[in-house]
Amino acid sequence: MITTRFRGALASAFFMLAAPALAHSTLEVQQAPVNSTYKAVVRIGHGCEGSPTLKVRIRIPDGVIAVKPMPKSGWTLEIVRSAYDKSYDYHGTPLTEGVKEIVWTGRLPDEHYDEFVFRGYLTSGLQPDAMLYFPTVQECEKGADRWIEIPTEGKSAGDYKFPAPALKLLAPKTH
Amino acid sequence: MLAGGGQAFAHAALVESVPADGAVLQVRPAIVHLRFNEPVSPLVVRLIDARGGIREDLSVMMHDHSIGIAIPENLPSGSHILSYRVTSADGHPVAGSMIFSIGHISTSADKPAETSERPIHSLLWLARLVFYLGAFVGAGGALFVTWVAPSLRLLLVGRVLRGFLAAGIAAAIVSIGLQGLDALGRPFVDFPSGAVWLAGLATAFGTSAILASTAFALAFASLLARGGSRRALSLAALAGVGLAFAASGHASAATPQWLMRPVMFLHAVAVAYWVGALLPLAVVVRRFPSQAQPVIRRFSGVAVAAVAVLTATGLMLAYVQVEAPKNLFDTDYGLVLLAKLILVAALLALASVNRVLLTPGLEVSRDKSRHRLGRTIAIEIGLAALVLMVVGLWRFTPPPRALETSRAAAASPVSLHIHMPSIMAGLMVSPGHVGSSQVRIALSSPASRPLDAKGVTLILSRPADGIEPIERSARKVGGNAWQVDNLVLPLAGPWQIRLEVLISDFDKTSLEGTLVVRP
Repeated sequence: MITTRFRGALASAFFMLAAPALAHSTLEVQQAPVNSTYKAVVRIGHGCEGSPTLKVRIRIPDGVIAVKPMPKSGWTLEIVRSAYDKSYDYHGTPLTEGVKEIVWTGRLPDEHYDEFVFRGYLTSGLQPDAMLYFPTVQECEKGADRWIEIPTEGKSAGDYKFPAPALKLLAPKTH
Repeated sequence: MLAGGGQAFAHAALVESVPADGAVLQVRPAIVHLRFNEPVSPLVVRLIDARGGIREDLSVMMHDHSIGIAIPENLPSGSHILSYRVTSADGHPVAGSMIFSIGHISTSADKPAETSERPIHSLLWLARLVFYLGAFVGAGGALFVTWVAPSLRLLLVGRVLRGFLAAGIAAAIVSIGLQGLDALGRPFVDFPSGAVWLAGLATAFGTSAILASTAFALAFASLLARGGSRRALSLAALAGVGLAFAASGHASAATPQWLMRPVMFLHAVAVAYWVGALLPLAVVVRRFPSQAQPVIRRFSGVAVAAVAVLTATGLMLAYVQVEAPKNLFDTDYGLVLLAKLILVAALLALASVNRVLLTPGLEVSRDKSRHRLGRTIAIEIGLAALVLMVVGLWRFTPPPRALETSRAAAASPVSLHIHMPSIMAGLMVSPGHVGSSQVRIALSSPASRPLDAKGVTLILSRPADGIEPIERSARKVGGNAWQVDNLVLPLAGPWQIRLEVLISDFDKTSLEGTLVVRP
């Protein structure tokens, strides 16, 4: 046990220099062009205040269609389908409904790290340069961490305790 | 990649605290332990004690996932806030506050600490008394010297009056700081603080103190000046005294102000004329017996009018403030008024004796009457001083008129309405005083329809005082109503409040506002 009389500013300056670790729920690839298929890898770094994770739920935002989750051994997979906000053109086929939520059920101790994968199409109607959020709920043995905070204007994810995993949209690639 | 994709920081979170957040303990905990889900280092730890004192020099032990904070021994009983800001290995700071109470939860009764308040009240009273003496004896005396007895060389009297005026200026200035301490509920050690003086100036008394200091300075100058200007100066000083009294105090706060303020002005001016004359008059009677007769006659002529004015205005003020006769006996304000009335009645009786019996006697048997007159004036001076001492107590006794309103206001909960584009929240904090309160939260849509939610968290903080967020989750009590029981608010004043409303599993909205906790 160490007894310290610390100086806040000094300690803060020291710790700010240390490299950031990855333990918010985030996407592995954090930018992608619209009008393309995107493979999302959601990273879960820890449980809810030490409690093991039993369920990971991801909501699919409007404009992301033809979503397919990747099954995971040891986890059961559910998909919740419902109507899209409008009809989307997917390579000539109109789509009016599809996956809006993915639910993995299993067990992930606080000490372990895991990734949850799905694929989806970023439709051309999405605005390049905007952020697209995939609100994620981590349900645990005790409590839940809801990574669902979407920054309001003038704020960034860093201002929040539980920011939603975010993807920066880029201009479509020219063929 | 990191830059483009925003930050991804580790997330240290408090797992538990020992004692638990909100605990009421019989004795002071020697150490408060905070356990996190990963190793942390403390950045800033502050203890805001039940009296609002901030202690930053705490010794902190680090041990793996926990930090232990040594709690100082000399804590008063009541509720204390331990505010912490720690950083996990990656440098992301995490902040929060926990509350623990020793003996009992703070209530408005033990806030701010009685022991620190009483000396301030005694000083306030003393400063107020010296202020009154400056106004009535000093400025009133200057008026007498320059108008009623201009031909006499009252050198010693002039010197004494200037002393009263100088003391009055000092008292007015010191009172500003004392008023500031009282308004902010700060202990005496904060007297030199700029915020205290600004708060004092911002009170109604601040204006009075400035007006009165100016008036005292004018009166001081009138006693040194020669010729006609001394009369102009002392008259201006008298007007300044009247304005100073009209600008603050219980009477000037009463409605209708267009009537009460002029009434207070006249009352103060009449008192200054009468009381101010006593000291110089006593000297004139003893030292200048041959010239006393015309001076007394001049004084008496106006004095009758002054006494009539001060009696009439005094009764008017009392009528408005006391409202019902029973309040004379049932309230502190009424008792002070009764004491004042008895003393003033005695003073008036003595004055009548002087006027009716002794003054005419001056012409017949000079020495005997002069002697008696001198003695009764000395008694009058004593009585007048007693009246001023008693009146100084009004500073601490709200009049029945105001008691009625403040009782009604104190009983009603503090309410707050927060409006966002997508959601509205109404908060009722009862009783909303320092101590434990219940918070009722009603959620509605912008169209004022009840709005259902999955969860509501109430977060309170005071960044200005270095108090990091205190989180409490609300429980649903039906429909759109949520409740937080036993929310301990140990400090009065503004708290930043944030409501986090979970609308669905994936949608959360934050509402922010300011809650003002009553002392």
